[in-house]
Amino acid sequence: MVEPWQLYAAAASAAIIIGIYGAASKRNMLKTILSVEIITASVNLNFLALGSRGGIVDSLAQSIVVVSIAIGACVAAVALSIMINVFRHYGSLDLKKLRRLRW
Amino acid sequence: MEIPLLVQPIAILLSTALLTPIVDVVGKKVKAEKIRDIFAIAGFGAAFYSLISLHQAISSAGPQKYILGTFGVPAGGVQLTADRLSVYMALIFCGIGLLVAIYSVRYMEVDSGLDKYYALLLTLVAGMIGVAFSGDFFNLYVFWEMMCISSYTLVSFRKYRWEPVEAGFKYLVMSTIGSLLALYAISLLYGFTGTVNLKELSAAISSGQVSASPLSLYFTIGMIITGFGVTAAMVPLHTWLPDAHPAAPSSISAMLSAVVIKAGVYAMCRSLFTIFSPASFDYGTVLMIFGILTMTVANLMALMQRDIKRLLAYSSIVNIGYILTGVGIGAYALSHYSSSPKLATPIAVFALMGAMFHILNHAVGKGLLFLCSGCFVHEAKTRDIPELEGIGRKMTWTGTSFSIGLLALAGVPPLSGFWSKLFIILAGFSLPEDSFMKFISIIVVLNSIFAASYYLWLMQRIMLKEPKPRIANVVEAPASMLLPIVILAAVTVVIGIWPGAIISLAENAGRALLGG
Amino acid sequence: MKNGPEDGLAAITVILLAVVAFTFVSEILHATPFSLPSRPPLERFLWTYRGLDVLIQGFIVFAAAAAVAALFKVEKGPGAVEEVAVEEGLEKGGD
Repeated sequence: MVEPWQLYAAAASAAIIIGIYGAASKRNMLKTILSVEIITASVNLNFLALGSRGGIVDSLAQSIVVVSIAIGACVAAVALSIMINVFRHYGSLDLKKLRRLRW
Repeated sequence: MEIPLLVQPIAILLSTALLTPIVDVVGKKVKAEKIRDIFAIAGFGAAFYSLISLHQAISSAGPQKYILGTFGVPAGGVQLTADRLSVYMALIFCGIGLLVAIYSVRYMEVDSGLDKYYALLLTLVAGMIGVAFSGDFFNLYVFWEMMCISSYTLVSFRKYRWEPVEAGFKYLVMSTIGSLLALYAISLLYGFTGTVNLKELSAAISSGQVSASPLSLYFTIGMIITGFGVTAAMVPLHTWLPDAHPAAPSSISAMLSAVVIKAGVYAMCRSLFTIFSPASFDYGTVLMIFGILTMTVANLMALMQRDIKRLLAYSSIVNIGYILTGVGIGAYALSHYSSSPKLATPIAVFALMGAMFHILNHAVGKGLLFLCSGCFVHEAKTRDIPELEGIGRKMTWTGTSFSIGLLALAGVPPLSGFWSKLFIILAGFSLPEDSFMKFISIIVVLNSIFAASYYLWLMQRIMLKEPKPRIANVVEAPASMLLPIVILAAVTVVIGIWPGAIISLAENAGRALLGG
Repeated sequence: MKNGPEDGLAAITVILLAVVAFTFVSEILHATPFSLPSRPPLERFLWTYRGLDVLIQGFIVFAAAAAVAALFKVEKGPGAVEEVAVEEGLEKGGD
C-alpha cells in the first residue's frame, strides 16, 4: 500500500536528479539557474512530504519551507544579476564562451 | 534593553551592516567619504571585543545557550549555543574580518559602491559567526546562506572585468547546489526524527529509536559531506576555487581562503560529530581518503601555475586537505577503537587539536599571503609570477612578511605551521599496529615536503631574483595596507615561538567538538 | 547531441545518481512515522518558535538587496587594473 507521502518524497528525489542533470549539462546559463531552482523546489517538497505523515503537515516543516522559499528567491536574484553582468561582457548566455568554465 | 552576550556579536555586525549605507550618504554630504570605512572597522572592533568577553564567560561558566523569548526547544524552537569550539572559530572569523576591513580602506578606494562592499563584508562575517553559534541545523543553513550570498557578490564585486563575473557565476552555481544537498540531508534527518535541533537529533539517533536503516543514515552522512564539502573545497568538488580566489579583490580573496572555506569545514565537522556519534558511525575513513586526495591533487596542480593568486588558491586546497585528514584521523580512531575509549579518546583529541590549530595557522598565514600579494598586485598591476620576480626587494616590508607567511605555511620550525602539521602527523603514527593510519600519515609527510618545495621556490622568485624593468618604479604599499600585514606576520611568529596558549585553546576546542 | 562529451558525461551521472537514489530512497520510504509533539498552527509557530530564523531571513533579504545594488552599480572610473596571465592557446573570453 503506497501512501501519498511516499509518492511525494520519491518525486522530490527524482526532481533533484533532474535538477543536477540540468545544472551539469545545459549550455544556456539561464537553464542552469532554472535547474538550481528546480533543486530548491524539490528539497522544499521533500520537507513537506516527510512532515505530512500525521495526516496534516507539521508546522515545523511548513515554517522551514517558508523561510527556505525566501532564501531561494534571494539566491535566484543574485544569480540572475551575475548572469546579466556576464551577458554584458560576453554578449551571449552560452557557457562555452566562458573561457575557463571547465566543469 | 540588555542584549544577551551570545547574541551581541551577530547583532552588532548586522546593525552596522544596516547602518552603513546611511553613514555613507552622510559622509558624502560632508565630503568625508572615509567615515563609512571607519564605521565598518568600528563595527568589527566592537564585535571582536564582545567575542572576547564571551570567550571569558564560556571559560568560567561553561557553554552558553540562548533561546528567543520563552519558546523552548522540544516544541521546535531555535537555540543558539556557544561552546569553546564555536567561540574559537568565531574569534578567527571576526579577527580576520577586522584586519581585512582595515586593509580595504586603501585597497578598494578606486572602486565605487563601497557602502555595499562594507555592508556585505559585515553580513559575511555575521553569517559565519552565526554558523559557528547555531545549535539548530536549519538555523545553521539560514546563517550559511547569508554567508554564501555575501560571498558570491563580493567575488563578483569588480564587475567591470570579465574574470570576476565568470568566476562568480561558477562559484554561485556549484556552491548553491552544495548548500541544497545539505538542506536535503536536513530534510531527511527531519523525516527520521521530527526535529532539526542538533542535540535532539543526536539523542534520537544514538538512542536507536529512529526507524531508519543504517544505509539511510550513511546516505545522509554522504549528503552532508558532499554538500558542505563544496564550500570547504574538497576534491573533487573544488573546481570553483582556483577561479574564484584570483578573480576576487585581494581583500576578499584573503577572506575566502582564510575563513569562508574553514566555515565549510566547521559546519561539516559540527554536524557530523554532534549528530552521528563517531563511536557508532564510521566516517573517518572517508574523510581521511578525501583529505589525502585533496592534498595530492592540489599539490600537483599548484606547481603548474603562473598566476600568484592561483598558486595560493591551490595551496589553500592543500591545507584544507591537511585539516580534513586531521579530523578524519580523530573520527577513525574513535570508531575503530570504540571498544577501548581510554586508548582512542586521547588520540582523537590530539588529532582534532592539530586540525583546529591548523585552521588558525592557515587562516593567519593564508590571509597574510593574500594580503601581501594584493599589495604586490596593487603596485605592479600584474599577477604574473615571472613579471613579479624580485618585487620583494623593492617592497621590503611586504616582501619580508610574505616570506614569513610562506615559511610558516611550509612548516619550517620554529614558525607556527610546523606545530600543527607535526600534531596531525604524530596523531596518525600514535597507533603503531594500525597500518592504514600510518599510510595516511606518510602521505601527509610527503605532501608537506612537496608543498614546502614550491613555497620556497616562490619565495626565492619573489625575494631573491633581480626585478624586471617593468616593476622598477614600485614603492612600498601605504601604511594602512601594511598594518594588517605586519600584525598577521607578528601573530604567526609569536604563535610559532610560544605555541602553548594556542595549543590549550585548540585542545579545548577539540574536546568541545567531541562533546565536552 | 549538441554538446558531445558533456551530454554523455551528464547522462552517465544521471544514471549513477538514479541507481543511488533508487537504493537509498526505498530505504528512506520504509522509515515509520515519528510521534510529534503537538505544535501550534503555522501562523503562530513561525513568528514565535522560529522567530530567529525569520529575523535572520530578513537580514538575508537586506543582503540580497545590497548584492543586487552592488552588481548593478554605476562605475565612477576605470577601476583597478590587473593583468592576468593568460594561458597559451586560449584567447581572452570577452570584453
